[in-house]
Amino acid sequence: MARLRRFSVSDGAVVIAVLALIAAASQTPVIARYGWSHLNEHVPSTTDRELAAVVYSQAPNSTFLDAARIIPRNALYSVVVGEDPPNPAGFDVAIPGMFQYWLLPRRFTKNIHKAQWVISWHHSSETLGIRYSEELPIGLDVNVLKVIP
Amino acid sequence: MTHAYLGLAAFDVAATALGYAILYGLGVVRTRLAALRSVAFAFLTGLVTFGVGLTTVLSLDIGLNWVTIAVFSIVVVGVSLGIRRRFPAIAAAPIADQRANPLTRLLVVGGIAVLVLALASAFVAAFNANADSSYDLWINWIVKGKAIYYFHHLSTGLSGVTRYAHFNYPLFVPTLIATEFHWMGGDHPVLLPLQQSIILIAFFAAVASLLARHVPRFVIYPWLAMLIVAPGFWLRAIYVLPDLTMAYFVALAAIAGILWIEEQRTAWLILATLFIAAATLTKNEGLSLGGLLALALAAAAIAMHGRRGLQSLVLFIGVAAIEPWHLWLTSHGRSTATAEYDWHEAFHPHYLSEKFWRFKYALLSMERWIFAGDVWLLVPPLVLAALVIVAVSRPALALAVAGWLVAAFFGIGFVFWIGRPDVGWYVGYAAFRIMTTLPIIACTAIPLLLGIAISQQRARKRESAP
Repeated sequence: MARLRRFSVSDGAVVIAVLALIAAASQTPVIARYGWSHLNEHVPSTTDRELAAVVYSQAPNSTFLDAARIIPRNALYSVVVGEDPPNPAGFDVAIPGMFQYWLLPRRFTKNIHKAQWVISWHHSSETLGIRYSEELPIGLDVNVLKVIP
Repeated sequence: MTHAYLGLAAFDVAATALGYAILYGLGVVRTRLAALRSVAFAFLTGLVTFGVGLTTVLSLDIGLNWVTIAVFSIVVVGVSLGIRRRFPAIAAAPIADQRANPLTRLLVVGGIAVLVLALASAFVAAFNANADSSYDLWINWIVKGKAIYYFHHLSTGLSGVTRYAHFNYPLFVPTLIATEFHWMGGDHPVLLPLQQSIILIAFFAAVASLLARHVPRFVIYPWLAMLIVAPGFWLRAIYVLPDLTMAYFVALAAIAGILWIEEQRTAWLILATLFIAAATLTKNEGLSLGGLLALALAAAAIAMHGRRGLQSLVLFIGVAAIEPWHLWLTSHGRSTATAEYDWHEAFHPHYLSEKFWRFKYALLSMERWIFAGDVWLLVPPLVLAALVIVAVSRPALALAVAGWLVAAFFGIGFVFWIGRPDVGWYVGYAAFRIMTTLPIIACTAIPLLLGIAISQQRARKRESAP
């Protein structure tokens, strides 16, 4: 009992610190392997690393690079997502979102009749209801259309 | 691309310089030794000052460009220098260690070794990392940062900040990203994981230096080492998603707030308020978790210092930092209410009883996650043990931190109770990211309380010695 009474806050803190360090040390092999693997990994090009953000689209990098090359930086554009061929669930929201992310400072509108350029994703260009002067393929079933005002 | 790396480095140096100016004005850094010890804290202070200040500037419909950044920096430096006479120097942190023995030395060296290994691994991984592909980033946070960078203003027009998902979320992170893009000379999201790793390193270094005022190193480093390698933390360490960033700000606010309660130096109160403001402007959850922290600190301050503790009400200014953004939204015809939940539902007993099963589901999932040994290692049991030890000598502070942890846990659960999305998806998607704040606060604030308790016991022993 006397020994228990002599047990100080500092002793308690030491016991806790020992357990904390044991817990931390148990993870060090995982952390060390993680760091080592990244130290020796092949690093892709900066463009590929930037485009990893939109990897969810499953489209080749050239789709986004070509869209940015073709559509002028001050243009107004729209994205139409069709189902020919069908897309994974959620693409109707994700695809316009990814183009908005990638194509800034170009301005995006949902109204294709106001757009100067339209990206048709898995959608027949002829059935969009707009007149266009150019149709430029930027991927499989993905085209950029220059709209006639 | 080299210019972008150099630009980011220049921004971090500028943030550190701005932070030093503020810490100098407040009396925290007045000597070379204090400056050396406070470099990480200065960086984070400067970073949150840029974030909070420029977000407020944007909410006043002033554009974000080089002139704004320069004028804002000059004003902050000028004010900091102007107030320096009102804030006497705070004595440099004494190293709290006294009688080192082989065991405590081992704890210090072991803790530092694990911490340095983890921070170095995170930095290496982040240096070559791809742009973060998290859904919320390209649909919300980074795209808004790009919009602010390119269009300079907050706008409801085409491709303006209100045109993206969660349009009324606070804008600290997008504003900071836009500011960083200005320094990088272009929009380079690929560098954001690197910046996140720098913030991570700065956070752990800042906590270690702040805690050193009262806490022996054998306590500090094992706790921080356990936190960083806990899978619940580690797997998110370099994510650009702002959950950890918000948690860092809440933790630094908690530490500064406790230092103010202990030392009664106004500088700490101001810094705690600044970090609460940063948390509030980072995420919606930052508003509630920051507000809860202000409440817990105020209660402890009043319990310990009586009327003098009422100064702690200043902390609520940090929570009110959201108001300019809310005013901007309402003045532009936009709602401030989030789509996922409505606080008014909290006052509808029928709705609450009908959805009570959601609360039970959320609490059980959160409890399983927080107590899972393969997620948070020994954090929960050691936090409980430390709180029991601290409660004997510092009951008000122990109760404040424990109360905050419990209230935050149930508060997060409550959001899922009144929330609208499918609860299984909602909890899986959001709960665990938000919950990460709890262990971070626990592993940083509780060692401080332990250190204070140890100092108090040593002082008593000295007094009672013949």
